[in-house]
Amino acid sequence: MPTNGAGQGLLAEDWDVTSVSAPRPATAPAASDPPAAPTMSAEPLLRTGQGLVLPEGVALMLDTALHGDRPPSGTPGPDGRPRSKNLTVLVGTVRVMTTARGEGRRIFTDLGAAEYRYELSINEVVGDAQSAARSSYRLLITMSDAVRARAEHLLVDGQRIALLGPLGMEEYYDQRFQRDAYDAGRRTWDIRIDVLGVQEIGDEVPDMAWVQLEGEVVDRPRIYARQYGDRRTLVEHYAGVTLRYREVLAGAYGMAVRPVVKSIPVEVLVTAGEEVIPNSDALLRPGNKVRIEGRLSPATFRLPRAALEDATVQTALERTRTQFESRNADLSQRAEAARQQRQAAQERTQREGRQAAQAPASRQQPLNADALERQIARAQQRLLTGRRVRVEVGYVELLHGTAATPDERTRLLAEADERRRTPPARRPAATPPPDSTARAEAQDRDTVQAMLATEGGDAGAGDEMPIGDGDDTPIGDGDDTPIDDGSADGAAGRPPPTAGSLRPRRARTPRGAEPGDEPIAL
Amino acid sequence: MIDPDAAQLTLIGRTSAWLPHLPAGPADHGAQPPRPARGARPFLVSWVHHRSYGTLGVYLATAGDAQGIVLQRGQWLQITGVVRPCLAYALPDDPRSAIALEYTPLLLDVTAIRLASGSRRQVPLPLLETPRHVRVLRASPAGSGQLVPLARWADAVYWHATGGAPAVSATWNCVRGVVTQLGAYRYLRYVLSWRSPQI
Repeated sequence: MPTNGAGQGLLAEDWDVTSVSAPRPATAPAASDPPAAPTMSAEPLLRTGQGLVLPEGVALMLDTALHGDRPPSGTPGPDGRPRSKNLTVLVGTVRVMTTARGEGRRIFTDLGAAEYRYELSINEVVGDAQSAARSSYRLLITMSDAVRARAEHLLVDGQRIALLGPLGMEEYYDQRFQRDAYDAGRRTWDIRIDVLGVQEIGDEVPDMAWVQLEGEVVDRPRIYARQYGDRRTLVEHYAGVTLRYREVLAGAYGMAVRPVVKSIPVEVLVTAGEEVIPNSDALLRPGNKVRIEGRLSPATFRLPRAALEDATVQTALERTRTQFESRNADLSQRAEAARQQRQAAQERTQREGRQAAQAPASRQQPLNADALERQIARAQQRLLTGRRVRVEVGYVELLHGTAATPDERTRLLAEADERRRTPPARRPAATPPPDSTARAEAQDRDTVQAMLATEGGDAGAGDEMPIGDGDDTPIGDGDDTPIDDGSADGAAGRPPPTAGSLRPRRARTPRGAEPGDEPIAL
Repeated sequence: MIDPDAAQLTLIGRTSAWLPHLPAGPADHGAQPPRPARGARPFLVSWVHHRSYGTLGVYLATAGDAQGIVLQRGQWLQITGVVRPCLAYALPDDPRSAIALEYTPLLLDVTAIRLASGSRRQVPLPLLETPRHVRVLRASPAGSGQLVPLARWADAVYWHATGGAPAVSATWNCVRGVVTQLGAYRYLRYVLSWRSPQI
């Protein structure tokens, strides 16, 4: 079974046809011993060019066009050359999306550029000689006119191709949430590949989605619990962070370069007991610079609770209910009319003494109130869920910074579990503020307690007795921990505020751990 | 220009992140909630914490006043400033004022910042060089006799350790910040007291 070399950390040289070691033909049997597991040492892994062969054009692109930014922002590979990064390689079978007239589906961007839509079917097999896993999905590809013009002969249904380019978050408008004919819908986003090149691929290269990114973690991890199994009692946790990466691309002519800054959410599997992915704790601390490799994985998302209060979403939900109710009322009306017709026909035949013919019953019967409510709820649930591609991290390399400690990882998971178990209505933020009398009593009690502790400790510890100890030290980090002002999400990695950035902050509403959409179990 | 008569305080502690806050108008002695200050410019607010004095809110007019120091979360700083209580609109995780939930009480207008050693765990208690006087009210019969409310500062009380509360005014040279967790919010109260300067 040909694999894409998961666990061996593919680099550009693995794809290079000019590699010293001869590529193994696809028909040759695999070695009996399993490939060596990636080591945790700081030494660069020894890359062997076994297994994979790409056409010369792909190797040339990897070698020349997609190096990203130069050192010190970038990192050299084991051979000292700047290695390819922020580059995704997709291998799969293309399908042309057409209109009803059989023409290629084309859209125009806001800037007037023409883009064509394709679908890439990826049947990916990951594993080694001992075990393997398979995942199949289809990915929407948007290709610019210029790229399509170069590779038009490859973009036919059923052709296996390799797409190369950087990933990026693309904003689009979800038309399901259109409020009227002039509304574009609800703004949302998805991860798309910005296709730079298309190459023909033979059968010796398996399907894959190989993502490599090098950037900085810019926010605190958001813990997603994916439940599965019988009654969804089994839970796996994924930590989602946003990775910001920069690329300095050479211009077509002259000395000027073009800086490109993008940010992408990535997810890594975490558990309380151990690092499932080696060095994955490096992703759990904002400010760290990491290099990751991973794969694309589709997931189902549910709109966050805050989005439900949006007028656009409310309108769509109400429209769904109205559609079902009006359709059911129409069915009821037709059923009643049919029933009256049948009754009239029966009476007529009885009067005339003929045998009553069996009238055909209408196909669709109206639903009763409970069944209608269930259908409406299911339709609204479908409206609130969507599918989105996510980047699943499989290899992490810490370039700069400090990895989170196991205690911090455990605490993150414990907090996420607590949030998951706590119903939203019973969260502390929903409790009303206590009245002034209770507030004054609590403050008096704490003040007296703190001052008495200070006075009592004067003879011994002097100034080091805690004041309000236990009240104002929310983090169990000792007494000198500053008060948690909620700025931990990205505060450490954020540049300090400058005079120019002083703007009145809008009052933020308390939110859960997921600022984006909440994933649900597949 | 610093008023030479102003109460200056120097403290050492770890700071939280410096975040922009919008200042509120002057409070009406706690009888009415403060009104928004018209045309006020936001300032940078941080919470300085040490076990010896609790949590104190400090504010800085602009980041340019940081004297070249890159202000970050968790820094050990020596902060000098003028005791100038004010209220600012609270961010979600800020400790709140007991008189108005949407505000957070601040204490010190920062005039100088220096980096302090991060390893020092024992810092001197911040004391005013010149003791100050503050007008006090009659203590509530239901409350503790050692806590005396102030006449013009609703988010602070005066601590009289020996009992027998002062009638009109009290002398203080030490301030602490006590945070009380109650319900969904934390409430910050400053406690003024007199402490004999150590020689």
